[in-house]
Amino acid sequence: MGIKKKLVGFTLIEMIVVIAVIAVTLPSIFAIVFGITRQQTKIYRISKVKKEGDYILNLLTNTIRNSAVSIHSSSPATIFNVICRIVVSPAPTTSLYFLDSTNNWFGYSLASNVISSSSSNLASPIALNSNKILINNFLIGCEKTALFSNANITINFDICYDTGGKLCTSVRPEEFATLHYQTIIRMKN
Amino acid sequence: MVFIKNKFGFSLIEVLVFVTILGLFFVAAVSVTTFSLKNMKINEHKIIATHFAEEGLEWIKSEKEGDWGVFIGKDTSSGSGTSYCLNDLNWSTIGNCGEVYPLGTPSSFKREVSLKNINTPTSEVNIEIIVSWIEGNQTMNIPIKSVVNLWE
Repeated sequence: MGIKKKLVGFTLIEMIVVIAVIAVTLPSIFAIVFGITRQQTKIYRISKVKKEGDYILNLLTNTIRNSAVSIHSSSPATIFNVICRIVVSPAPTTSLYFLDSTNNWFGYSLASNVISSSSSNLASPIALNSNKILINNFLIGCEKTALFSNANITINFDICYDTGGKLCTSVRPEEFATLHYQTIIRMKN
Repeated sequence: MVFIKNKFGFSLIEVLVFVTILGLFFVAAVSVTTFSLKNMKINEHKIIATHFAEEGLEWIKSEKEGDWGVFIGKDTSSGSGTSYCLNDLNWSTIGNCGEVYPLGTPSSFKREVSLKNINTPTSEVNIEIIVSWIEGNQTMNIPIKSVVNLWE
């Protein structure tokens, strides 16, 4: 009798119902959480890529448009490596250097997925993109359509988020974020 | 007799109230989550669309740096403006893009530009770029406007 009266605890039916409810709710909760994280990753990456891409494009545009006086093929920029003084069609390369009005030189070049800014005022080049961001196909070139017109600088680059191993691609659609930038700048001087 | 004396369980009303509250809570949580997920998706598309619009504007500006005479010839209308479909960054498609959205991965955006020459002879050109995409059952768009002039 003592054993029969002690009816504390759950019946089998109760346990089955509870487990069934948990089995239904947990997967949906996980699916929702997973969806949110995925979306956040995508937005974080695409906005970071866009932020750095905009920064690089603006920096190059402003410095070249406002400061550059002559265009040079290698660093340091001297009178011996001036290019684009005559009418030329664009032949883009991965680096270009400029002299400003105070005879200081500055320039931009691509090396191992990083655009770096070098200048006679800098001890060492400065990387313009952070290490999780990769730059590909950076091409900068100059063209001159007429002898007495100002030169145009063409800039092209692809910027993407590093999905691991210096790659832009991934099997997961939320992981890749690649943007293309291009512009042509008319030099002022 | 043993079962009747056992009063530790819940009554039907209690269970119903509890299940209702739980159900309401879950419905609210799910609707908030889907709403925020949808919002995040829209924001992602807005970021990408803004980039496409800016890319288009940069291209238009670079076209203007090429040859002003050729550039103002792109507005063939007399005052009302000319539209181009600018999906591929060239002038080959006059008019709107239609219901195709080839830009982006996966393809879901289209880009159109409207040019309008100002003054005679033309000294300024109004540019309006509209990048649009379909979000659920509505069309969303990012318009950006700019003006380029002869002297700048």
